[in-house]
Formats: sequence, C-alpha cells, structure tokens
Amino acid sequence: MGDKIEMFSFYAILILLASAFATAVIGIKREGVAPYIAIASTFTALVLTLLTLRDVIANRIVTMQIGGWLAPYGITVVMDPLSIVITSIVATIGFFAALVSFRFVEERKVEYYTLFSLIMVGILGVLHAGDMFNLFVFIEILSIASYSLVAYHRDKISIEASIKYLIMSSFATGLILLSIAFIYGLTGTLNMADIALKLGTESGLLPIIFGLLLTGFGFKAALVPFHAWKPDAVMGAPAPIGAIFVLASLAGVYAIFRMFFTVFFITNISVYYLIIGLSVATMIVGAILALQQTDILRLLAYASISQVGYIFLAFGIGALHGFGYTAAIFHLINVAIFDSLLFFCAAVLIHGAGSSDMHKISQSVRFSPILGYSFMIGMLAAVGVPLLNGFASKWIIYITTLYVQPLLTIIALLVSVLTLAYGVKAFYIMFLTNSSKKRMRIPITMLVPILILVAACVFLGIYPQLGVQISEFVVKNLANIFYIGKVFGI
Amino acid sequence: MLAYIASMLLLIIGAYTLVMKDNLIKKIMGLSVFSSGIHIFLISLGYRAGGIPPLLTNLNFNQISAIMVDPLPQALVLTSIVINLSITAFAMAIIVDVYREFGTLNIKKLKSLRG
Repeated sequence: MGDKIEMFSFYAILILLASAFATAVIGIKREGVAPYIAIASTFTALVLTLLTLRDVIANRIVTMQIGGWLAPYGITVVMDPLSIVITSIVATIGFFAALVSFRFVEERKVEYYTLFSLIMVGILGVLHAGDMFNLFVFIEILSIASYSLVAYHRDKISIEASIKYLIMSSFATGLILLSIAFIYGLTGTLNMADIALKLGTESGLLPIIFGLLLTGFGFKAALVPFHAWKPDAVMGAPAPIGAIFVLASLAGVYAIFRMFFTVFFITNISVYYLIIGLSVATMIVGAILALQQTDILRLLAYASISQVGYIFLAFGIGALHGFGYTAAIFHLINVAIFDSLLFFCAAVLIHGAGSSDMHKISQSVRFSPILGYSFMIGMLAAVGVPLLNGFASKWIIYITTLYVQPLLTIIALLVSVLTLAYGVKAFYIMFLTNSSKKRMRIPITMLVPILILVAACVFLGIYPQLGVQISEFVVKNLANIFYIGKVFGI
Repeated sequence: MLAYIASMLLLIIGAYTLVMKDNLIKKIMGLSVFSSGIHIFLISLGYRAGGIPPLLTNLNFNQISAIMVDPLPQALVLTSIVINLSITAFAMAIIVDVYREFGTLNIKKLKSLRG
C-alpha cells in the first residue's frame, strides 16, 4: 500500500449538502443569491471530482474510511474507474444544469435550488457509496428531493405526476430495503466488498435478492416494465431537471452494474438473457411511445428511456462478447451528453414559449438558428449518425450483437430508425414550421452549456478512440477482486 | 419465528393495499404498513438473545464481537423510519393539493397525464 490519497470528490457531496442548507437559510431573506450559491457549489463539485479523476487514473481505485474505522465496521466510500467516470459526467452536467436554470427559474428560486442541490447530493452519494446502507440512504435523498421538485409548479400536471411517482418509487425503494434485509440475513454485513466475500453462490435466496434489486434499481433506471413514472415526472418538473432525471437514471444503471460486477459477480448466463429481454422491450416501447408525443418533454423522456435500453442491451451482450461492456460504458457517456443537450435545448424553447407543447412552441417563439442546429445535432447523435458520438457507441453495439445474435442487430437498427422518425417529427414541428413573429435571443448562460455539449458530441464522434479508451479502462478494472482488495487494504 | 410471520403478514397486507386500493390515503397507509413489515423483518434478523451492547474499544474487540448485538440493522431501521416519516408527511401535503385541484382522492380519476 502506498501513501494515503485524499478523496476529493467525497467533499463535493458535503459542499453540495452545505449549499442546500445555505440556500434555504440565506434565501429566505435574499432570494437572488440562491442561483449563485448553486452555480458556485456545483462548479466546486466539478473541480473536486476532476481532482479525484486524476487520482483514479493514476491509482485505479481510491478509498476513504470515514472516521478512521476500518472497512467492514466503518463507512467506506470507494471510487473505482466505473464510478469516477459516471461521477465526472454527473458533476459536469449538474454544473451545466445549474447554469441553464439561472435564467429558466424565475420564481421560488429558494425551493428550486435547495432541491436541485439535494438531488445532486443523492446522485453523487449513490456513486460514492461503498455499502448498501449508504446506497439506500442516498437513493432516498435523491427520490424525496425529486418528488418535491416534480410538484414544483403546483398545477394539475405536476401534482398528479408527483403523487404517482411518489407511490411507485417509494414501493421500489421498499423493495430495495427488503433485498438489503435479505442480504444482511445471509451475510451479516452491508459493506459491498464484505458481502462479495461472504455471499456464497449456492444460496437459494439469491434469485429472490437479485430479482428485488433488479426491480428496485430498474425502477430508478426506468427499465420498461417500471418506466411509467419517468415521462410524467419529467413533464411535471421544470425543464432543466429533465437532464438531472437522465443522470438519476444513470445512477440506477450504475447501481445495477455495481450489483452485477462487485457484489454478486453473476456468471449465470440466463440472468444476462433476462437483461437482454428487458433491454429490447425498453428500446422498442420507449421509441414507439416517443413517436406519439406532442409534448417535447414527454418525447425526450421516452427517448431517454429508449437510450437506456441500448445501454442494457450492450451490457447484456457483454457476458457473451467481451466488447459489450465497453459499448455499454461508452454509450452511457454518450447518452448523458446528447440527452442533456436535448433537454437544455428544450429548456430554451420552453423558457421562450412558456409551454412544453410542440405546436404551441412553434407558434409562439423563434430563436436564432444555432438552437435549431444544436437540437438537430443532439437528435442525430441519438439516432447514431456517423461523425457524431452516438454513432461510435452504437456501431460497437451493432457489431457485437451481430456476433451473438443478428436478430438483436436488426432490432437495434430498427429502433434507430424510429429514433430518427420522432427526431425529425420534433425538429419539423418546432423549427421548420415555425410561424412565429416573436424573436428571442438565447440567454448566454443557456447558450454556453449547449455549445459545449454540441462540441463534445462532435469531438467524440470524430475522435471515438478517446471514448473507447475510457471505457476500456473502466472495463479492465471491473473485476471485483481489485475492489475488495482495496477496500480491505490488502 | 413469530416476528417473521408478523412481518410477512404486514408485507402482504401493505402490498395488497398499495396495489389494489384506489384511494390515495389508503395507498399511503399501505406503503407505511409495507415499510413497517420490512422494519420488523430487519430488526428481528438482528436480534440476539442475551446480547450485550456494542461498546467497542481496541482492547476488548475479540472478546465481545461474538456476543455483542450488531447495531447495523437498528441504525438502518432508524434511518428508514425517519425517511418514511418524511415521505408520508410529503405525500399528505401533496394529497391536500390533489384534493384541491381535482376534487377527488381516487387515483383512477387523475387523468391529466396520458400516453
């Protein structure tokens, strides 16, 4: 063991938590301060995360034993390549979402930014947790903050979305808690590395535990039988939160990956067939339902469900063909980039039009063509057009599925065609048939994040080696033996 | 054994109420009962007859770790109870708003979101 490395990204959670309280306390008197606190704290979180990213690239896994208590007894936070890559994306998009919200949110800023910071705390906490206890607590923080943020507008849509989301999501977290109880009963510990050591592969309870966990986290990731909350919640919440919901889904995806690779280390092939089946359903249902939407936020919500399906398809293929995992990680990075780009473009439009209905948007407001081109690039990246980042990862998915089962390749291609169909529909209604005389400028705080994300789409599209290298680095270090060894300091 | 049966009963009653009843208040009650079932299950897993409090120092660790009560499930259940309290309180606040906007508590009559 070398010298101890400080885990900076853990302090990002503390700073965001402190900023949530500071916003609530200071904001009572001075509401205008709230957005600045949020922007400053998310930027600090981003810097701290990048510092840890540098450490993880050098040392592979960074751990921290909180309060100095050793691993199975104390609280351990762990950053391995899988979690740091997702954490960096979350911190970046979170900072951009705070910037976009700056002009978008014009009333009740204190509530908005307090809950915004708490959601970020929840997502980052899930990514840091080294034990099931903290995973559960941070998932609950994430959920409760998002229930209240969905109800932010206090109109019919957001209240109905909030109560339905609350009932379904609380049941799902109840199932996660139940599975944690089973795990505790079997092993007597909740530390993930310790569970991985003590959990035999022969217990008859394992399928139950895994089924409960897959249901609970699949709900958070919006896999198809459990996807119903997402479009409602995204539609009820303010538009920049749509991007945060994409990140929350990725936290659910991360939790499933963590269960698969670190805690259970599943080798049973039928589980992967189950994942492939769920992912195919997710891709198809998400894309077909997106086609019918006339509301831009609902359309994008279904689009992101469909994209999460691609991630799981690649992940399920991974057991049968080694490149699948690489494709899953790479596509996860790309989904975060282009989906949040689309949500930010939608936020600009909704900010101008005051409504999320696509026809109303096209009648009431007109922006400079930069916005149209950015939206088009985001959509084409989601379709998987060459020279954009979506193509690079989808290409690997097509190739790997072709080796395993050509039928899956055909389905993946067909869903891409459906993606093109609803992308063209949204683009046509909102930009090409725009009949509005009212011209508006894009606020600079919204334009800059959009342009940076467009640049990221194009850069990863023409230089995909970078994304592949990052993903390969993650996949190489996925084996839980490194993780366990580092947690126990062996 | 009795605790396990009780927790199973609570889980079944809670899940049934949550899924089958249409009234929002009853759904939230079902959710509370369901969570209580999980809490009783967890607490009874951590029960140790004649266990001693887990007051650890570096010196006595090996002697008492075999006979102490593991504080982990109790801490988890305590956290979960607090979380459930906040969820229930928030749900009640939202239900008041639901009644104000829709004039009903029947979840099947909330139909502003479709597709």
